[in-house]
Amino acid sequence: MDISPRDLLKGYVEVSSLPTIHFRLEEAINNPKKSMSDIAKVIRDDPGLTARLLRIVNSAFYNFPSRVETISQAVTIVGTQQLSALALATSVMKMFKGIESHVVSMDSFWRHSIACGLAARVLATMRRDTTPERFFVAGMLHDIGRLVLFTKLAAKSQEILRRAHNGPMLLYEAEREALGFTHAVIGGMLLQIWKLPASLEEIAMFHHDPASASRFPMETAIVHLSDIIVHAMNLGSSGEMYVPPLDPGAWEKLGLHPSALTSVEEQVDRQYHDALQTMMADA
Amino acid sequence: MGKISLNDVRAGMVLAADVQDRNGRTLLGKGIEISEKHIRVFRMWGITEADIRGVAMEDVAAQDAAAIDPAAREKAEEAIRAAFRFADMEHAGTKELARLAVLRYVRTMTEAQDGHQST
Repeated sequence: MDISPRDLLKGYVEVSSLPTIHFRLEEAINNPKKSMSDIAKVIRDDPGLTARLLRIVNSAFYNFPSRVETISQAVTIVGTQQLSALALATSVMKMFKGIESHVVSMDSFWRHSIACGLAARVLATMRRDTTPERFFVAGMLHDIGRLVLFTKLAAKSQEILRRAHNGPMLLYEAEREALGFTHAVIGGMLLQIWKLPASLEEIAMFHHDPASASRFPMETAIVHLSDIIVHAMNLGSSGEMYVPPLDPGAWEKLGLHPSALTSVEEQVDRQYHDALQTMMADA
Repeated sequence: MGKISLNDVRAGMVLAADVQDRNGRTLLGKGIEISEKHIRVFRMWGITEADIRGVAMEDVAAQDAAAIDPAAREKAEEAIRAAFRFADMEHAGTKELARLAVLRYVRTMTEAQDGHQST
């Protein structure tokens, strides 16, 4: 029986609760008539989100010298775009809360995802990108297609993991062999269905094949490398047992000197536990 | 000689090239002997590496490796080789990630042992 990515994603089309808050926020941010306090109000209308964002803003993630007590303060200090990206990250996690998978532990899955988000954020900051939170979300969501596979095709996913183990082969190669497509395609399509920014879709779609990313090559190269870094650091796992191969073109594009990797890993290590605690507390 | 991580930079080393911040502004010029204070300032400005006269990444790597018990290193290298089996170990970036992974593996092993002994 042949399964198409579209079939797999059918159930997810109805799950539209995720982007609502995201879209309301984006709408407020992009509307020149709306003020900072209007934007803060959109967030405050969702008490859960308010609590989650305040926790993140007060964590080692930012390391602000004094406590950020209100969303209005957070909007001023962190910025609306950044806060919106963080809101998206926590909303997606919350959405998948309660998903049980016998294929891979959800705890391990989110550890890998959060670590990848942190690494992407560090790399973006090193490149003096002014919107590092965009990269955090992109890193967090890069493997989201695996969650679809694990829940919709649990037995088949077990078989694919076994195939990768016995090969041995990379998990995404085993997926391609067994299904004809990989988790990357599923993830990209899911983010497209959710109408999230095109950059997130392309990054998820091509994080194992960054040379094919035509619109957001730099963003995709960053998440591609981040995924490899956190695999090398052995922080969680989305099922893959091996460090994925590095695309030399993506590496060149980032212009990173190998000696800078120590610092990237240190920064990820420094933020990792705090980020896990804040992101996973009620997610 | 090539850049090394700021972590491996020590007072008394001499810069082989200017250290510039992210905006391309020079913080310290080539030929200057580095002090503890310079290292602190580099950290503050987000400098992660420096080009040092007479020191290469390979020297630092050899030093790190020599500091580890050979049996532990062998075990760690074997595990990391397995994890990196599909990676191109000739690539400078991959090679550095694998090197750091070995150090990390040894650190985790040592911590686990110490934790075990103290309980």
